[in-house]
Parts: sequence; C-alpha cells; structure tokens
Amino acid sequence: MAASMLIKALRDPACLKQASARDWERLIYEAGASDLTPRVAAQIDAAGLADIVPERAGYHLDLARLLADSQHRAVAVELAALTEALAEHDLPFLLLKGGAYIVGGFAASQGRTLSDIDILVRKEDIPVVEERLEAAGWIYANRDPYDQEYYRRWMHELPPMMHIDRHSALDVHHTVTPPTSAMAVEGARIFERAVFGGPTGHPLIGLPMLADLVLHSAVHLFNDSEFDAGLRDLSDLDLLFRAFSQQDDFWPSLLARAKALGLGSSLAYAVGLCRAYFETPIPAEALDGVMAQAPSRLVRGALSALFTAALNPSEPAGEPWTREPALFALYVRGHALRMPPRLLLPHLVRKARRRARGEEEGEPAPA
Amino acid sequence: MDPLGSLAPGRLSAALAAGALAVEVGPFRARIRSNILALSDHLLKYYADYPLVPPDEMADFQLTLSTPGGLRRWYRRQVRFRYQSYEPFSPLPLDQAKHAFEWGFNWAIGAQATRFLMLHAATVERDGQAIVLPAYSGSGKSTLCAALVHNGWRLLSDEFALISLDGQALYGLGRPISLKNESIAVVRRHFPTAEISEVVSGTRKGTVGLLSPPEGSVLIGKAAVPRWILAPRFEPDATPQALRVERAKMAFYLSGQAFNYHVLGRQGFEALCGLVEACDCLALGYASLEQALALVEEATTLADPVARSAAAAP
Repeated sequence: MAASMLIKALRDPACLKQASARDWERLIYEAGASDLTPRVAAQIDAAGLADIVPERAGYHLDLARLLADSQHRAVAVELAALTEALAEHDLPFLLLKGGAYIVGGFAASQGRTLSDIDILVRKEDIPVVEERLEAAGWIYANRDPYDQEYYRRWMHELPPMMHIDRHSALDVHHTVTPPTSAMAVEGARIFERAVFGGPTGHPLIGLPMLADLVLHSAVHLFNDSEFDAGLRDLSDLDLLFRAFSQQDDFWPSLLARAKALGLGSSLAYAVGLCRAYFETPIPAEALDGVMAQAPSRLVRGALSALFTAALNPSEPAGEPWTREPALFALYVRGHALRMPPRLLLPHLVRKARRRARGEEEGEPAPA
Repeated sequence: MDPLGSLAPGRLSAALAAGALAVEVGPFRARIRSNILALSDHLLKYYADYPLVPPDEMADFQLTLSTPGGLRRWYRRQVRFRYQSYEPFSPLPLDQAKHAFEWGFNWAIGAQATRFLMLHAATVERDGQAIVLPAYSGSGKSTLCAALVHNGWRLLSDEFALISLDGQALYGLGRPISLKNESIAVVRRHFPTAEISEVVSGTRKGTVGLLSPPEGSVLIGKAAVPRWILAPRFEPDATPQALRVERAKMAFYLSGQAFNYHVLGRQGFEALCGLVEACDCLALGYASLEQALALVEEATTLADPVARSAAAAP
C-alpha cells in the first residue's frame, strides 16, 4: 500500500516534488478511482504546492476543484428543497455523512464529493416523510417490488430516491445501522444528542454530535457490502480524527458513545486502518480505550486483511489477486450482518442471477 | 512524436499488453491496455496517424479491454471494458470488441471535460470555419456528418464539440464515425467509395458500423472557429427548410446537450453565450440527404439563408 501514489500524496503532498510524469498519471488514476481527486487538489493547495503540478495533471485537478465546488453548491440547493419539503412541515431531520460534513464545515468537507444526500428522520415519521418527499418531486429510482420489500424489511433506509427535475439522489434513513444486525442502534438515540439549528439554517434540521458523526462514518465503511468509495471514507475519518483530536473532550466522548451504542468494533477498525494508511496521530490513552473495545485479535487480523485488500487503489495491471475475493467476502459479510442466514443465500443467488442477466439497476447502455 | 502507425504490429500488440501504449487524440491522451489481438488491428487501421505519447510522459486516462476469465474463457467469449477502474457497461460479445473500444472511448472523453465546454454534437470544418451539429440520438446527426466529410468538409468529431471556454474555438478529435442501422445503407448508397467496416448486427444499438473519414478529411491539433450551429432533424415527410433559432433559445437547447455545463458553472454559461454569439443559429428540417446537404451549403455560403429557404418553399 505504501507504493500507492494516492496514499503517499494524502499523507504528505510534499513528496510530489519528486514525482515523475508516470507517477502523476498513477496519482490521477488512483485518486479518480476513489473519488479523492478534489481532496488531493485541496491538500496540494493547502500545502502551497500548486506550482509543482505539471500542466496535464493540473487539468485534472482543476476539473476536480470545479466538480467539488459545483457539488457543494448542489448540497445547498438540496438542503433548501428538503427544508421546504420536510422541516417547514414540522418534520425534523439530520444530515448524515457528506452532506453533514459540508453543511457543518467539518474537516472532511475538504474536497469532499458525494453521490447522494443522506438524511435521518424519526422512524415514526417515515410514512409522512415519504408522502411529503413524493409531493415535492422525489421518486423511487427503482420500483422493483423485490427491492422495495428488501429495503423496507432489512435496511435502515428507504430505497434510494431521486428528484424528478434535478436527478439528485436522496437516501432517507430511519437509523444508522441495519435494524436486524448485531450492531442495531435506535435512530432515536442519534436524534437525542444531535445539534439542531446553526449551520443548517433551521431549528428542526440537525447534525449528529461529533462522536456520532465519526461512529456513523466508521459503521458505514466497515459494515457495508460495497467498497467503491472505501478509501475516501477512510480519508474522511482520518481528517475527522485529526481535527476533532484538538478538542479535549472528543476522545472520552467518542469512546463512551461507542460503548453505549455497541459500535466499538467498527471504531477499532477505523482507528487501526487510519493509522496504517494515513499515519493518523491518535493519543496513547485513547488508543488503549479503542483497543479495549476491539474484537479478538484473530477476527481483527482477518478482517483488517480483507479491508486492506479491498481498499487498495492500484491500477488494473497492478491489482493484487486478493482484491476480487476480498471484495466478494466483504460483500457477503455486509449482507450477512443484516440478514438471517436462511434468507441470505436465496437473496445473494437472486442478485447474482439478475446481474448475470444484465438487469442490475440503472446500468446505462453504451453511448 | 512518432505516429502509432510507425510501430510494427508485433510491437504494437506487445505494448498494448504491457500497458506501454498511449496515444494522443486531439487534446486527450489515452493509455490503452489490452490482450485482444483484434484491437491492435483496429488501432493500426483507424489510429495510425495519431501521435504516440513518449514513454516518460503522462496520459490522461487508461482504457482497458480484457477478456473475462472463468467459464467465459471457453464459452461465448466476451470483452470487458474499463475506463480507469470503472466499468461503464457490462461485458459485450467478443466480436464487438472494436465497438466496445469506440463506445468506451467516447464515454471516457465525455468524462473528461476539463478545459472545454463539451457538447454532444458532430463538428466539421472548412477553410478554418466550423459547423456544430447538435442533436438528439436518432436525428440523423452522424449520417449528415458522414455526408459532409465526403463533401469537402473536414471531420472534427462525430460525437463531441470541444469548445474553448471563451466560446471562440473548436477542437477536433477525428476517429472513425459510428453509423447505426439504416444510416449504413444510406451512406453506402450516396457514397459508394465510403469505407465502412466492422459491421456487426445484434448489438444493443442494433446494427453498427465504423466509417473511416476519407483521406485528408480530418482536422486535429488545430483549432477551428465556430461559425454555424445547425440543429438537424430528419423526418421522412419534412419540407426542406432552414429556420432561424433565437440565440438564447439555441443556448438553452445546447445546455441540455452538454456533458459538463453544470460542472463548469459560470464558465460554462459564458462559453455557451460566446459560442451562440459567434454563430448563425438555424434548425434544418429535411427528408433526404441531398436536401440536407443543399441546406447546409446555403446556410454556410449565403448571407441570409433563411430568406432564401423561405422563398424556395412552395
């Protein structure tokens, strides 16, 4: 992993002073594959290294800056629309992940792009929220009855919605972890401690408390079935750890919260991999606290190896043979965490057959 | 830089397999990786004049064409396309490898959009002046583009208008023109010397073929000045006519045909305004290729093509 230009550049942009043209090509490739080009651009700017960027690599960084800016503008547009559709009708909600980082101005908003807006609503509000959103132009991108049923039964979110005019994607969560999984958390507990008003511009719109923001990011990264943006999410965590560590009460609050919500194992993976990939400084005491909540050494070792293989950003030719099997193992694990075993196999077989027939949702015909 | 055609076929396929081949196509540099032999034939045939990127310089992106392993190695062999690490479409039958490459290449270019406003449009040039032919799929854009490059116009691109951010310059890519379904027969009928090959039926787009622009009818590496925006519409029973389109209306229409208008924000808006300001904006309705060529000729040579076309209408 040390051979990755992306990881090197994110750790220390100054190393790019020695980069060859082919190194830059690899950096642009790896950064693009992980949705991290805008963040690389931002780190280069922050380090005052804009002058060392070769012309052709600069085009890609310029585009990435434009893309991040346009997405940050789009978040404001979506927030305004959601305010009107929900908060103005006394339906409170929280912004999660990318949307929360950007609106809250947290460290992980730096060069952050996002493919959808994630919000958390109260579980009891779900039927009204659906009605309100549909009235305001959000529709289900996929009306397949099996998928609709699957999301409603096994997931902590509604099936993905899309705005009919803006084509923006929206994920409506009622909690942060699949309700049938071992790490189920009541959405109400996140709501309880959330911070309302302020940067969100409305007293009924909130952001999770800092500890929850971090825990949700970790839970999402280490328990999902897809790893497309895995490295970006890990980099988010790195930036959040670095920034929040400046606050004296952050680590005690995070450790207490992880324990209370039963999310200690995800936190342990987050801390372990951030240190391995980005050399994230973690206070020694905090590290002891994290390890006290970590899974057994054996489980930790096996899963860390899988995550590491899955998070590798290298070019197709340099892709280690372990990547595909690791992704598959994590895909199955992601599903196993939320479904009982007797339903898991039929579900995965069904998905595999659909994919074989080329029916996976939303795939465009070649243009 | 040496042209791709200077490589012996054996060295070309070795370079392709090693990921050591990168080619400059207009403003973009593509590294191409593949172990599929048919692809090196394809590159030699259609890309022989394009410059090779020196080994110590960077390419903008990588296109990888591979054959999936497992059962597919023996049964109904496929080609898998990747742009960078991303797979924009599912594997296709191996006999469509060359089309997979062209489609994927288009997809990759559409994803670039750095220094240009990029529209979905065919673009051709004559005497330094260029026409932009924006259109929805199926409107006859590629057929008309093919006809124009057989009539004294040089090809910039059959898919993309790459417009400088001040709206005053257009850049070319060349590359083969993709023809679909009936347009293959139409072009063959009108231009018996037209070189159309790789005709494959049963693809997702129906029957497809690739047309080589005639010798000397490609312009790359040099900017052209956009002068006309002609939105073509083929309809079997149309009365041939050119209608003037208000500039603001054309700009609005073009914004819907842009790949990166929303990303460029204000710069995109300004490029679009600069472009329509610099151009005569017309909609062309026609029922045959002859009519279309006559309308284009009038639009690009007469001072007031609309008056002429209105007078000619019965």
